[in-house]
Amino acid sequence: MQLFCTFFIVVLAGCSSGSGDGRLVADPLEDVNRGIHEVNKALDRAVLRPAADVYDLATPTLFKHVFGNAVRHLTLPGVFVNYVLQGDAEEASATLGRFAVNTVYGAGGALDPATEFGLPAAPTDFGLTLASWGVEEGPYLELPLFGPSTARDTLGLLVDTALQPTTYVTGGVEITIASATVRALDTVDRRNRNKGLIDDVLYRSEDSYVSLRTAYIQNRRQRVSGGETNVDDLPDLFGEE
Amino acid sequence: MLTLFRRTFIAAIIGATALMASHSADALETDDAKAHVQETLNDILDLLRQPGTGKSRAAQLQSIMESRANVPLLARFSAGRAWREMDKGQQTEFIQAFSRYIAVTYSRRFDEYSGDPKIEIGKTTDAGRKGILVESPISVPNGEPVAVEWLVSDRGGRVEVVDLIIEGISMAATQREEINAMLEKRNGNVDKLIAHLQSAP
Repeated sequence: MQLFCTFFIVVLAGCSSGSGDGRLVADPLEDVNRGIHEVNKALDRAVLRPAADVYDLATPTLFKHVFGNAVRHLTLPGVFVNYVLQGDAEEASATLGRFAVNTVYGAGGALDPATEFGLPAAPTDFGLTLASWGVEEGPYLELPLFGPSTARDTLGLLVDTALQPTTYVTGGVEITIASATVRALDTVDRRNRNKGLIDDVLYRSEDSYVSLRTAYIQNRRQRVSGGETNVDDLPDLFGEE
Repeated sequence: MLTLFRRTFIAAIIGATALMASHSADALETDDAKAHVQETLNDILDLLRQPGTGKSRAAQLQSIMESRANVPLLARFSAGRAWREMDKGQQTEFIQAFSRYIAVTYSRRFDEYSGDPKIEIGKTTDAGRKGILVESPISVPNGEPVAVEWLVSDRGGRVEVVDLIIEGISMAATQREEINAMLEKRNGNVDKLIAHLQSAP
Protein backbone atom coordinates (compact mmCIF):
# COMPACT_ATOMS: atom_id res chain seq x y z
CA MET A 1 0.00 0.00 0.00
CA GLN A 2 2.69 2.44 1.01
CA LEU A 3 4.78 1.58 -2.03
CA PHE A 4 1.75 2.13 -4.19
CA CYS A 5 1.16 5.54 -2.66
CA THR A 6 4.76 6.57 -3.18
CA PHE A 7 4.51 5.55 -6.81
CA PHE A 8 1.27 7.47 -7.11
CA ILE A 9 2.87 10.65 -5.82
CA VAL A 10 5.91 10.37 -8.04
CA VAL A 11 3.63 10.02 -11.04
CA LEU A 12 1.52 12.96 -9.92
CA ALA A 13 4.50 15.13 -9.21
CA GLY A 14 5.25 14.80 -12.90
CA CYS A 15 1.89 16.27 -13.83
CA SER A 16 1.81 19.97 -14.45
CA SER A 17 0.48 21.87 -11.48
CA GLY A 18 0.03 25.27 -13.06
CA SER A 19 -3.54 26.44 -12.81
CA GLY A 20 -3.78 28.37 -16.02
CA ASP A 21 -7.05 29.62 -17.58
CA GLY A 22 -8.10 31.20 -14.28
CA ARG A 23 -8.95 27.94 -12.56
CA LEU A 24 -8.39 27.70 -8.83
CA VAL A 25 -6.39 24.47 -8.96
CA ALA A 26 -5.13 22.03 -11.58
CA ASP A 27 -7.25 18.89 -11.68
CA PRO A 28 -5.89 16.63 -14.42
CA LEU A 29 -7.39 13.54 -12.78
CA GLU A 30 -10.88 15.00 -12.44
CA ASP A 31 -12.61 11.92 -13.89
CA VAL A 32 -10.89 9.54 -11.47
CA ASN A 33 -11.39 11.99 -8.61
CA ARG A 34 -15.10 12.28 -9.34
CA GLY A 35 -15.42 8.48 -9.26
CA ILE A 36 -13.73 8.36 -5.84
CA HIS A 37 -15.88 11.27 -4.69
CA GLU A 38 -19.07 9.35 -5.45
CA VAL A 39 -17.79 6.38 -3.44
CA ASN A 40 -16.78 8.61 -0.53
CA LYS A 41 -20.14 10.35 -0.59
CA ALA A 42 -22.02 7.05 -0.67
CA LEU A 43 -19.95 5.85 2.31
CA ASP A 44 -20.72 9.03 4.19
CA ARG A 45 -24.42 8.73 3.49
CA ALA A 46 -24.60 5.04 4.39
CA VAL A 47 -22.15 4.79 7.28
CA LEU A 48 -20.44 7.88 8.58
CA ARG A 49 -23.32 10.34 8.74
CA PRO A 50 -25.72 7.92 10.48
CA ALA A 51 -22.92 6.86 12.82
CA ALA A 52 -22.22 10.50 13.69
CA ASP A 53 -25.92 11.11 14.39
CA VAL A 54 -26.10 8.10 16.71
CA TYR A 55 -22.85 9.14 18.38
CA ASP A 56 -24.22 12.62 18.95
CA LEU A 57 -27.40 11.32 20.57
CA ALA A 58 -25.92 8.41 22.48
CA THR A 59 -22.81 9.88 24.02
CA PRO A 60 -22.80 12.39 26.85
CA THR A 61 -21.29 15.78 26.10
CA LEU A 62 -18.61 15.13 28.70
CA PHE A 63 -17.45 12.02 26.89
CA LYS A 64 -17.27 13.87 23.56
CA HIS A 65 -15.30 16.62 25.21
CA VAL A 66 -12.80 14.32 26.91
CA PHE A 67 -12.44 12.07 23.89
CA GLY A 68 -11.77 15.03 21.58
CA ASN A 69 -9.16 16.37 24.00
CA ALA A 70 -7.41 13.03 24.36
CA VAL A 71 -7.19 12.36 20.65
CA ARG A 72 -5.90 15.85 19.91
CA HIS A 73 -3.42 15.49 22.77
CA LEU A 74 -1.89 12.47 21.04
CA THR A 75 -1.31 14.46 17.87
CA LEU A 76 0.86 17.02 19.71
CA PRO A 77 4.22 15.19 19.33
CA GLY A 78 3.66 15.16 15.56
CA VAL A 79 2.60 18.83 15.62
CA PHE A 80 5.78 19.65 17.57
CA VAL A 81 7.99 17.85 15.05
CA ASN A 82 6.29 19.70 12.20
CA TYR A 83 6.81 23.12 13.80
CA VAL A 84 10.48 22.25 14.34
CA LEU A 85 10.77 21.23 10.68
CA GLN A 86 9.09 24.50 9.70
CA GLY A 87 11.70 26.36 11.74
CA ASP A 88 8.95 27.89 13.88
CA ALA A 89 10.58 27.89 17.32
CA GLU A 90 7.77 29.90 18.91
CA GLU A 91 4.95 27.53 17.92
CA ALA A 92 7.16 24.50 18.59
CA SER A 93 7.78 25.55 22.18
CA ALA A 94 4.13 26.53 22.65
CA THR A 95 3.15 23.04 21.51
CA LEU A 96 5.65 21.50 23.90
CA GLY A 97 4.27 23.65 26.72
CA ARG A 98 0.72 22.67 25.84
CA PHE A 99 1.67 19.00 25.87
CA ALA A 100 3.37 19.34 29.26
CA VAL A 101 0.56 21.35 30.87
CA ASN A 102 -2.21 19.05 29.68
CA THR A 103 -0.27 15.90 30.55
CA VAL A 104 0.42 17.07 34.10
CA TYR A 105 -2.59 19.25 34.96
CA GLY A 106 -5.05 17.90 32.41
CA ALA A 107 -5.21 14.29 33.61
CA GLY A 108 -2.87 13.03 30.91
CA GLY A 109 -4.57 14.99 28.14
CA ALA A 110 -8.23 14.31 28.95
CA LEU A 111 -8.73 17.93 29.95
CA ASP A 112 -7.44 21.09 28.37
CA PRO A 113 -6.25 23.63 30.99
CA ALA A 114 -3.51 24.74 28.56
CA THR A 115 -5.98 26.77 26.51
CA GLU A 116 -6.81 28.80 29.62
CA PHE A 117 -3.08 29.25 30.24
CA GLY A 118 -2.79 30.92 26.87
CA LEU A 119 -1.53 27.88 24.98
CA PRO A 120 -4.45 27.05 22.69
CA ALA A 121 -4.29 24.28 20.12
CA ALA A 122 -2.55 25.39 16.93
CA PRO A 123 -2.58 22.34 14.71
CA THR A 124 -0.23 21.96 11.79
CA ASP A 125 0.77 19.05 9.58
CA PHE A 126 3.44 17.83 7.22
CA GLY A 127 1.57 19.16 4.20
CA LEU A 128 2.05 22.66 5.67
CA THR A 129 5.68 21.81 6.47
CA LEU A 130 6.24 20.88 2.83
CA ALA A 131 4.59 24.17 1.80
CA SER A 132 6.93 26.09 4.12
CA TRP A 133 9.86 24.42 2.34
CA GLY A 134 8.56 25.71 -0.96
CA VAL A 135 7.16 22.41 -2.27
CA GLU A 136 4.40 23.11 -4.79
CA GLU A 137 0.81 22.23 -4.09
CA GLY A 138 0.53 19.94 -7.09
CA PRO A 139 -2.72 18.77 -8.63
CA TYR A 140 -5.94 18.23 -6.71
CA LEU A 141 -6.74 14.69 -5.55
CA GLU A 142 -9.66 13.10 -3.83
CA LEU A 143 -8.43 10.14 -1.82
CA PRO A 144 -10.56 7.11 -0.99
CA LEU A 145 -11.81 7.43 2.64
CA PHE A 146 -9.53 10.41 3.39
CA GLY A 147 -11.31 12.81 1.07
CA PRO A 148 -9.96 16.01 -0.51
CA SER A 149 -6.21 16.47 -0.87
CA THR A 150 -3.46 17.58 -3.19
CA ALA A 151 -0.27 15.80 -4.24
CA ARG A 152 1.58 17.75 -1.53
CA ASP A 153 -1.01 17.06 1.16
CA THR A 154 -1.12 13.35 0.27
CA LEU A 155 2.59 13.06 0.90
CA GLY A 156 2.01 15.05 4.10
CA LEU A 157 -0.69 12.63 5.20
CA LEU A 158 1.69 9.67 4.83
CA VAL A 159 4.42 11.37 6.85
CA ASP A 160 1.96 12.50 9.54
CA THR A 161 0.73 8.93 9.91
CA ALA A 162 4.34 7.91 10.45
CA LEU A 163 4.65 10.67 13.10
CA GLN A 164 1.60 9.46 15.04
CA PRO A 165 2.57 7.57 18.20
CA THR A 166 -0.51 5.34 17.85
CA THR A 167 0.89 4.05 14.56
CA TYR A 168 3.56 2.23 16.52
CA VAL A 169 1.36 0.72 19.17
CA THR A 170 1.57 -2.97 18.51
CA GLY A 171 0.92 -5.98 20.64
CA GLY A 172 -1.95 -8.35 21.12
CA VAL A 173 -5.25 -8.41 19.28
CA GLU A 174 -6.86 -6.34 22.02
CA ILE A 175 -4.49 -3.44 21.49
CA THR A 176 -4.96 -3.53 17.72
CA ILE A 177 -8.73 -3.51 18.17
CA ALA A 178 -8.53 -0.72 20.73
CA SER A 179 -6.36 1.43 18.48
CA ALA A 180 -8.64 0.83 15.48
CA THR A 181 -11.68 1.72 17.60
CA VAL A 182 -10.11 4.98 18.71
CA ARG A 183 -9.34 5.88 15.11
CA ALA A 184 -12.85 5.03 13.93
CA LEU A 185 -14.41 6.94 16.81
CA ASP A 186 -12.21 9.93 16.05
CA THR A 187 -13.48 9.95 12.47
CA VAL A 188 -17.07 9.81 13.69
CA ASP A 189 -16.38 12.51 16.27
CA ARG A 190 -14.91 14.86 13.67
CA ARG A 191 -17.80 14.20 11.27
CA ASN A 192 -20.15 15.12 14.09
CA ARG A 193 -18.33 18.29 15.07
CA ASN A 194 -18.33 19.59 11.48
CA LYS A 195 -21.81 18.37 10.66
CA GLY A 196 -23.25 21.63 9.39
CA LEU A 197 -20.37 22.39 7.07
CA ILE A 198 -20.00 18.86 5.71
CA ASP A 199 -23.73 18.41 5.09
CA ASP A 200 -23.82 21.75 3.37
CA VAL A 201 -20.96 20.92 1.01
CA LEU A 202 -21.96 17.31 0.31
CA TYR A 203 -25.74 17.41 0.19
CA ARG A 204 -26.88 20.98 -0.27
CA SER A 205 -24.65 22.11 -3.09
CA GLU A 206 -25.17 22.00 -6.80
CA ASP A 207 -22.00 20.01 -7.52
CA SER A 208 -20.58 18.58 -4.33
CA TYR A 209 -17.33 17.56 -6.00
CA VAL A 210 -16.57 21.14 -7.06
CA SER A 211 -17.80 22.62 -3.76
CA LEU A 212 -15.55 20.32 -1.76
CA ARG A 213 -12.57 20.98 -4.00
CA THR A 214 -13.07 24.75 -3.85
CA ALA A 215 -13.52 24.84 -0.09
CA TYR A 216 -10.58 22.53 0.59
CA ILE A 217 -8.10 24.34 -1.65
CA GLN A 218 -8.94 27.79 -0.29
CA ASN A 219 -8.90 26.62 3.30
CA ARG A 220 -5.50 24.95 2.86
CA ARG A 221 -4.04 27.99 1.12
CA GLN A 222 -5.20 30.14 4.00
CA ARG A 223 -3.47 27.79 6.43
CA VAL A 224 -0.29 27.89 4.36
CA SER A 225 -0.29 31.66 4.82
CA GLY A 226 -0.49 31.28 8.59
CA GLY A 227 -4.26 31.16 9.08
CA GLU A 228 -4.82 34.67 7.80
CA THR A 229 -6.37 35.53 4.49
CA ASN A 230 -3.55 36.40 2.14
CA VAL A 231 -4.66 39.36 0.05
CA ASP A 232 -2.50 38.08 -2.83
CA ASP A 233 -4.68 34.96 -2.99
CA LEU A 234 -7.89 36.97 -3.30
CA PRO A 235 -9.30 37.26 -6.79
CA ASP A 236 -9.01 40.65 -8.46
CA LEU A 237 -12.50 41.15 -9.84
CA PHE A 238 -11.59 44.34 -11.65
CA GLY A 239 -8.51 42.75 -13.17
CA GLU A 240 -10.64 40.50 -15.37
CA GLU A 241 -10.41 41.29 -19.02
CA MET B 1 14.22 85.08 -13.97
CA LEU B 2 11.76 86.13 -11.38
CA THR B 3 8.85 85.41 -13.70
CA LEU B 4 10.23 81.99 -14.42
CA PHE B 5 10.52 81.32 -10.72
CA ARG B 6 7.04 82.59 -10.07
CA ARG B 7 5.62 80.56 -12.90
CA THR B 8 7.27 77.38 -11.69
CA PHE B 9 6.13 78.08 -8.17
CA ILE B 10 2.54 78.60 -9.21
CA ALA B 11 2.64 75.53 -11.43
CA ALA B 12 4.00 73.49 -8.52
CA ILE B 13 1.23 74.67 -6.24
CA ILE B 14 -1.43 73.92 -8.80
CA GLY B 15 0.14 70.51 -9.42
CA ALA B 16 0.30 69.69 -5.74
CA THR B 17 -3.29 70.78 -5.16
CA ALA B 18 -4.47 68.68 -8.08
CA LEU B 19 -2.54 65.69 -6.73
CA MET B 20 -4.02 66.10 -3.28
CA ALA B 21 -7.50 66.48 -4.67
CA SER B 22 -7.16 63.41 -6.86
CA HIS B 23 -5.72 61.46 -3.95
CA SER B 24 -8.64 62.17 -1.68
CA ALA B 25 -11.06 61.40 -4.48
CA ASP B 26 -9.43 58.09 -5.44
CA ALA B 27 -8.23 56.42 -2.29
CA LEU B 28 -10.79 54.46 -0.35
CA GLU B 29 -10.56 55.39 3.31
CA THR B 30 -10.50 52.65 5.91
CA ASP B 31 -13.27 54.36 7.85
CA ASP B 32 -15.52 54.44 4.80
CA ALA B 33 -14.91 50.75 4.18
CA LYS B 34 -15.69 49.94 7.82
CA ALA B 35 -18.81 52.07 7.77
CA HIS B 36 -20.00 50.34 4.63
CA VAL B 37 -19.52 46.91 6.19
CA GLN B 38 -21.33 48.05 9.32
CA GLU B 39 -24.31 49.23 7.26
CA THR B 40 -24.35 45.96 5.33
CA LEU B 41 -24.24 43.99 8.58
CA ASN B 42 -27.10 46.06 10.00
CA ASP B 43 -29.20 45.26 6.92
CA ILE B 44 -28.45 41.55 7.25
CA LEU B 45 -29.05 41.42 11.00
CA ASP B 46 -32.39 43.18 10.53
CA LEU B 47 -33.28 40.53 7.99
CA LEU B 48 -32.21 37.72 10.33
CA ARG B 49 -34.36 39.08 13.15
CA GLN B 50 -37.46 39.12 11.00
CA PRO B 51 -39.54 36.01 11.03
CA GLY B 52 -39.80 34.74 7.50
CA THR B 53 -39.54 31.83 5.21
CA GLY B 54 -36.51 31.06 3.07
CA LYS B 55 -38.16 32.42 -0.08
CA SER B 56 -39.13 35.83 1.20
CA ARG B 57 -35.77 36.15 2.90
CA ALA B 58 -33.98 35.34 -0.33
CA ALA B 59 -35.75 38.17 -2.14
CA GLN B 60 -34.83 40.62 0.61
CA LEU B 61 -31.26 39.39 0.71
CA GLN B 62 -31.05 39.89 -3.04
CA SER B 63 -32.00 43.55 -2.70
CA ILE B 64 -29.48 44.03 0.13
CA MET B 65 -26.76 42.45 -2.01
CA GLU B 66 -27.67 44.57 -5.00
CA SER B 67 -27.53 47.78 -3.00
CA ARG B 68 -24.38 46.98 -0.98
CA ALA B 69 -22.30 44.85 -3.34
CA ASN B 70 -21.25 44.99 -6.95
CA VAL B 71 -23.34 42.06 -8.14
CA PRO B 72 -22.83 42.64 -11.88
CA LEU B 73 -19.07 42.58 -11.35
CA LEU B 74 -19.33 39.41 -9.28
CA ALA B 75 -21.50 37.83 -11.99
CA ARG B 76 -19.06 38.76 -14.69
CA PHE B 77 -16.11 37.40 -12.72
CA SER B 78 -17.98 34.18 -11.95
CA ALA B 79 -18.83 33.63 -15.61
CA GLY B 80 -15.11 33.63 -16.38
CA ARG B 81 -14.29 33.05 -20.02
CA ALA B 82 -17.94 32.46 -20.87
CA TRP B 83 -18.65 36.17 -20.32
CA ARG B 84 -17.07 37.13 -23.62
CA GLU B 85 -19.05 34.48 -25.46
CA MET B 86 -22.35 35.99 -24.27
CA ASP B 87 -24.10 38.67 -26.24
CA LYS B 88 -25.41 41.78 -24.45
CA GLY B 89 -28.85 40.31 -23.85
CA GLN B 90 -27.41 37.12 -22.39
CA GLN B 91 -25.10 39.11 -20.13
CA THR B 92 -28.04 41.06 -18.71
CA GLU B 93 -30.06 37.90 -18.23
CA PHE B 94 -27.09 36.16 -16.66
CA ILE B 95 -26.55 38.95 -14.14
CA GLN B 96 -30.21 38.80 -13.07
CA ALA B 97 -30.25 35.00 -12.82
CA PHE B 98 -26.93 34.97 -10.96
CA SER B 99 -28.12 37.61 -8.50
CA ARG B 100 -31.21 35.59 -7.63
CA TYR B 101 -29.23 32.35 -7.46
CA ILE B 102 -26.62 33.56 -4.96
CA ALA B 103 -29.31 35.18 -2.80
CA VAL B 104 -31.17 31.86 -2.62
CA THR B 105 -27.97 29.95 -1.90
CA TYR B 106 -26.80 32.25 0.87
CA SER B 107 -30.15 32.77 2.51
CA ARG B 108 -30.38 28.99 3.01
CA ARG B 109 -27.21 29.17 5.11
CA PHE B 110 -28.73 31.86 7.31
CA ASP B 111 -30.70 29.29 9.25
CA GLU B 112 -27.42 28.14 10.77
CA TYR B 113 -26.75 31.56 12.21
CA SER B 114 -30.06 31.95 13.91
CA GLY B 115 -29.79 32.17 17.69
CA ASP B 116 -28.54 35.67 18.32
CA PRO B 117 -25.18 35.93 16.61
CA LYS B 118 -22.75 38.58 17.82
CA ILE B 119 -20.89 40.42 15.11
CA GLU B 120 -18.22 43.05 15.58
CA ILE B 121 -16.07 44.89 13.13
CA GLY B 122 -12.48 43.80 13.62
CA LYS B 123 -9.20 44.75 12.03
CA THR B 124 -8.71 45.92 8.47
CA THR B 125 -6.05 45.01 5.94
CA ASP B 126 -5.03 47.11 2.97
CA ALA B 127 -5.39 44.86 -0.07
CA GLY B 128 -3.87 47.41 -2.43
CA ARG B 129 -5.69 47.71 -5.74
CA LYS B 130 -8.17 45.07 -4.66
CA GLY B 131 -9.49 47.33 -1.90
CA ILE B 132 -9.68 47.06 1.88
CA LEU B 133 -10.34 43.83 3.72
CA VAL B 134 -12.57 44.30 6.78
CA GLU B 135 -12.89 41.55 9.38
CA SER B 136 -16.20 40.93 11.14
CA PRO B 137 -16.05 37.66 13.07
CA ILE B 138 -19.39 36.13 14.05
CA SER B 139 -19.64 34.50 17.45
CA VAL B 140 -22.54 32.26 18.33
CA PRO B 141 -23.16 30.91 21.83
CA ASN B 142 -21.58 27.47 22.37
CA GLY B 143 -19.70 27.47 19.13
CA GLU B 144 -16.42 28.36 17.52
CA PRO B 145 -16.41 31.89 16.12
CA VAL B 146 -16.74 32.10 12.35
CA ALA B 147 -14.15 34.18 10.50
CA VAL B 148 -15.88 36.57 8.10
CA GLU B 149 -14.11 39.16 5.97
CA TRP B 150 -15.43 41.68 3.46
CA LEU B 151 -13.45 43.01 0.56
CA VAL B 152 -14.59 46.59 -0.02
CA SER B 153 -13.59 48.62 -3.05
CA ASP B 154 -14.53 51.90 -4.69
CA ARG B 155 -13.11 51.11 -8.10
CA GLY B 156 -16.61 50.61 -9.44
CA GLY B 157 -17.42 54.27 -8.77
CA ARG B 158 -18.98 53.84 -5.33
CA VAL B 159 -18.02 52.15 -2.06
CA GLU B 160 -19.23 48.56 -2.32
CA VAL B 161 -18.56 45.00 -1.31
CA VAL B 162 -16.76 43.03 -4.03
CA ASP B 163 -16.09 39.79 -2.17
CA LEU B 164 -17.10 38.00 1.02
CA ILE B 165 -14.61 35.61 2.62
CA ILE B 166 -15.96 33.10 5.13
CA GLU B 167 -13.39 30.96 6.93
CA GLY B 168 -10.87 31.78 4.24
CA ILE B 169 -13.25 30.82 1.46
CA SER B 170 -13.89 33.56 -1.08
CA MET B 171 -17.41 33.85 -2.43
CA ALA B 172 -16.14 35.18 -5.76
CA ALA B 173 -13.62 32.37 -6.25
CA THR B 174 -16.19 29.77 -5.17
CA GLN B 175 -18.92 31.07 -7.47
CA ARG B 176 -16.51 31.18 -10.36
CA GLU B 177 -15.62 27.52 -9.83
CA GLU B 178 -19.24 26.50 -9.43
CA ILE B 179 -20.58 28.44 -12.42
CA ASN B 180 -17.75 27.04 -14.49
CA ALA B 181 -18.66 23.48 -13.50
CA MET B 182 -22.36 24.12 -14.22
CA LEU B 183 -21.50 25.42 -17.66
CA GLU B 184 -19.22 22.47 -18.41
CA LYS B 185 -21.99 20.08 -17.41
CA ARG B 186 -24.21 21.79 -20.00
CA ASN B 187 -21.53 21.57 -22.69
CA GLY B 188 -20.92 25.29 -22.56
CA ASN B 189 -24.51 26.20 -23.42
CA VAL B 190 -25.03 29.65 -21.86
CA ASP B 191 -28.82 29.67 -22.31
CA LYS B 192 -29.14 26.37 -20.46
CA LEU B 193 -26.93 27.74 -17.70
CA ILE B 194 -29.11 30.85 -17.35
CA ALA B 195 -32.28 28.76 -17.34
CA HIS B 196 -30.79 26.58 -14.63
CA LEU B 197 -29.81 29.57 -12.47
CA GLN B 198 -33.32 30.99 -12.87
CA SER B 199 -35.00 27.80 -11.75
CA ALA B 200 -32.60 26.56 -9.05
CA PRO B 201 -34.51 26.15 -5.81
